[in-house]
Amino acid sequence: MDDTIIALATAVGEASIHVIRLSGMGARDIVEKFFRPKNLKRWDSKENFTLHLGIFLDKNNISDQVLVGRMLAPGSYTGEDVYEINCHGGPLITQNILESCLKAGARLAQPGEFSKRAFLNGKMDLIQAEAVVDLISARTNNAAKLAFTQLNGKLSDKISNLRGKLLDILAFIEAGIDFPEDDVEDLDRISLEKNIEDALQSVEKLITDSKTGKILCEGLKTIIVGKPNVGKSSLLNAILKEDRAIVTNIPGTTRDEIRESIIFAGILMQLVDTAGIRASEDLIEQMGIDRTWRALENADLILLVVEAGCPLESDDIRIIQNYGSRVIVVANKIDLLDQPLLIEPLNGEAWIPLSVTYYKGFDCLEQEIKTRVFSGDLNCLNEPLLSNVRQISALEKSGKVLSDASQALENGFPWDIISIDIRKALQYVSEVTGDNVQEDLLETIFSRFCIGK
Amino acid sequence: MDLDEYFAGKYEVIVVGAGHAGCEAALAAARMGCDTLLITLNLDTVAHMPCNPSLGGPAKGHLIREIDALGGQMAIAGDETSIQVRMLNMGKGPAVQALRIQSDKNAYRNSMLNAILAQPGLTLLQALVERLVTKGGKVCGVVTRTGAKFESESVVLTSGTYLKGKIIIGAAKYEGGPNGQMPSVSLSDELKEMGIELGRFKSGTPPRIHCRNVDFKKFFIQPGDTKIRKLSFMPIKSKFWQDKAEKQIPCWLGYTTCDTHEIIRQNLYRAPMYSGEIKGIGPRYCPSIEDKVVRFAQRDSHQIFLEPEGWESEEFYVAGLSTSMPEEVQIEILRSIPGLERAIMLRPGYAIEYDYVKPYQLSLGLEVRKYPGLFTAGQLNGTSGYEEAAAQGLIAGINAARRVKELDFLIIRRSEGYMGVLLDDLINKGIKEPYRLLTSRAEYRLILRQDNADLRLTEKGREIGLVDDYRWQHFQEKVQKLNKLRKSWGTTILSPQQEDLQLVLQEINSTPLRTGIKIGELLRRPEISLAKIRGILPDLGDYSEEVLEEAEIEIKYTGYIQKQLAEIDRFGKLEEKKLSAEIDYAQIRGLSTEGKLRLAEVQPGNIGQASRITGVSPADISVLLVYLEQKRRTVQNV
Repeated sequence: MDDTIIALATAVGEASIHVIRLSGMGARDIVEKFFRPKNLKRWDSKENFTLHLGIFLDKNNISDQVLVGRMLAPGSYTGEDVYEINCHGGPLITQNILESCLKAGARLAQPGEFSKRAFLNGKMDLIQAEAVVDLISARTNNAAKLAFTQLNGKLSDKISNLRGKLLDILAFIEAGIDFPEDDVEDLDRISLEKNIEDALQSVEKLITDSKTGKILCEGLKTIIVGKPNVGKSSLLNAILKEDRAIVTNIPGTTRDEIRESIIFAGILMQLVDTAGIRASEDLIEQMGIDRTWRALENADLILLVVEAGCPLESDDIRIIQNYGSRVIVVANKIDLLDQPLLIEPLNGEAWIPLSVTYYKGFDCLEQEIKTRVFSGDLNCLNEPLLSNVRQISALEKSGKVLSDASQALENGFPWDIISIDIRKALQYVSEVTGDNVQEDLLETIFSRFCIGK
Repeated sequence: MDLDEYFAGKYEVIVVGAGHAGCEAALAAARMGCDTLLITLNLDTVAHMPCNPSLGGPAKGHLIREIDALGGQMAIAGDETSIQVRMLNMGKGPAVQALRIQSDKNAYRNSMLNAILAQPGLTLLQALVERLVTKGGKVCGVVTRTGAKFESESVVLTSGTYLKGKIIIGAAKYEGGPNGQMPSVSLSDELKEMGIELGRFKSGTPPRIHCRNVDFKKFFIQPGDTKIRKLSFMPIKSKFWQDKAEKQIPCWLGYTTCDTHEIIRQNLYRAPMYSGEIKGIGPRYCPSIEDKVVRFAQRDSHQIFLEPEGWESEEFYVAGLSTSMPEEVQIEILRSIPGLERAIMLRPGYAIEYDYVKPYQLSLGLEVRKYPGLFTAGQLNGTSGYEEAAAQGLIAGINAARRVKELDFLIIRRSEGYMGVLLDDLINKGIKEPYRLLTSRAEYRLILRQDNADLRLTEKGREIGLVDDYRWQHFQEKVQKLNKLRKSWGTTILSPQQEDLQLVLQEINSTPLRTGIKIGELLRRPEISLAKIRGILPDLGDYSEEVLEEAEIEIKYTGYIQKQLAEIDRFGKLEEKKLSAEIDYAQIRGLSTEGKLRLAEVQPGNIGQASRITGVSPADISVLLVYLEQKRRTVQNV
């Protein structure tokens, strides 16, 4: 329990301010690596229960103004040194801060881990123990595996592929070590070096890809369409005005057709301005215009607004039939219906019953957008996206130990030493896929090499 | 059936079976001062090697060193009767180097038998144990087939592959133990009746041939090492070659051919492995030749080794040719191998199926948890290999004695020895095939080296009363020397004015010295080794090769060693959080269903062990930690 844990204390992507919490003996050292307090004297005074204004300069030299709260052991929530970084709520900023701290030695907290520490350190009474247990066990047994299967197919292939490479390298070394008199080819340092280099490149590529993931950097290109008077503008205004949606200005954006960048459902969205999605209510009438159709063609997500209970117009049907899984049909004005809405999808589109007036159904809309983005249904991920900080962190650690292996090899260290780093690299990648290392290693050895003297 | 039983005697510890596990168990218990009885089916097969005539190799050699460090017998018997020694994995690093020796089977048996006969407090008896005596849920004796009833406080079962043993050679099958011995049927039923869960495994052995007609010119000679190393930390010479390396006996390497494989394919329908005759699960690391030909169909040759069964033995073991094909096919297979065209088969290879005790029912001290006083060890627990058996036998014998003395069990942790890895894997991970120890199963491999087994374990052996004065003194001398050398290398500074040193550095492309440097620091340079700079160092004649090697390894790999030690330290804390056997896991809120089941099955002794049980998730461990704290506070409040 002496490692330092970290987690986003606020819900992902859904607030204007995020709080990142660290707890553990190393918390102060980690924060100090990046935090430049405005009042250094006060920070150095080690005064307890204080808030400090300053700049957080992350590993990419991107800075954000933050407030850091300090609560020292044993009086803090967990009974350990706790630091809370209050930062602005953009996903890039929070992700950068999290990653910086992880790189500096913090470990992502498991579900319920802050509470667990609080309880174990005597900061919570017995009555609360059950609640702590609930928090912990809410996690599924193989959360890693589940998260992995939810990744976009291309990405999970790439990670599985990387894992296969590492497994092969390790199996080769271990077969030679454990069965020295069997028919296992002799180890050769040059090809091993090549293989490690190759694996290292895969890791680095995966990490870079994950950072340039289109959604994180550019946002989800979204268009809102629908015939007049179905409530497009009010939907848009509701989204824009909603507390949880923040209008941002992403510097360096060059796309001229972009009207608004907002964060909705925790995802950066680019609302595409075609023929005036806000001003003009007669978009459908102009559907013949090439420009509009081109915009639909290029959109990652189409929110097709219709009036609940009314039959679909031919243009609506045409959009659904052409763009299927990219379409979410927002059936507005359900408050006017006497009976539940009957939903019969035509072409893989989703239907969300909603009332803009009474602000109902937005949760479902958010959830649907998240599901579509992260399950890879939306064909917007040209390059794989690794949005999960835990997964990125595991890959980064894997890359680090692979470099160590490379270095050890260069220094002429023997196989048993090199295997230590390679095994670690394999373990980190296996954390992403949720697989077992030991069993798979033996399976690989016995299937690849004819063992049995 | 209605045999009159008679009271035949009372002992403190009874060991059933005198194979590699039984011998270590009995010797350990007796050496720890317990009045011990060792019962075997046949006095002529004490410590018999029914399979290959060799000991050691990666992980197995490590185990033997650990057995020796704790005061066991296997290394001594091995060194005494070796006909060839070979250090394997020489170029692959200090953690995985391991000694493998060829032993004279008969001499090995005699050496072990003599140790047993000479051991005060140990009685040997030939008999077949049919049943265990239990009283109040505790095992307290055994009854033999002839009605002799022996009482004891602990019983160690080491009955190997004898439980419901079934030999299979082609279509021929009969009840039997290994090597023409009789099986033990009633004991297996007895265990089942007691509610102990058994499984069924399969193992096998290759044919043996007479050397008379072998054309050795068609084989590649595999000689012993010129630099002699020993299994034991004690100075023991082979009675055969007396440390004269050139007198060692070689092994021979040859290859199967396309013809061999064709014969096997033609006769596959007669192979019990493929006809469905064999139901027990065999080990993946020790496949039969028919299995290899089927699974690696693209290969047109597999290697085989001819290994002499003894110093002057005419009988050779054909390693790599394990099979249960019909006898006449075995002869055909043998004769298709270049050099064996006229080979005479002395004994056919065979497969053996046998019952084993599923090891999750044991504690880490190898006691059957349901029956205090009953210990099981060796192949009976589903392992394979002489060394794995001996290591378990030693631990079971020690703990059987400690049970008598009402002391806590000796438990070797994964970070302390391969023995710990072996037992921890067996009990917590569960086994699906006969378990063989591998160095890749050890997460702290760099710490568990064969060179430092004594540094890791001899003090423990002394504490429990297994290490005698002679070994203890020998060990302490080594430690003193080692400490002296460590200190010297950590303080002695080499001067840049030392010309011969600069010259050596230049020769091996190492940066010349500008300021003084400690010997230890210089040795840490990747391109430097002790061998390269030994000539220019102050005289090292005072130190044995063993001590020099040890000190060099510690220095060269210090970074990696420190990292592993830190990990051990981190995980070690979980081992200190004890879990009592009374915990009802089904009642703990928040545990996963599988976690509950597995925890109840294995009943781990502490959180560390719990975390290694297959099916117990990290979330389950967190729940357990909260549970323990809850309980601690509830007790406090009362």
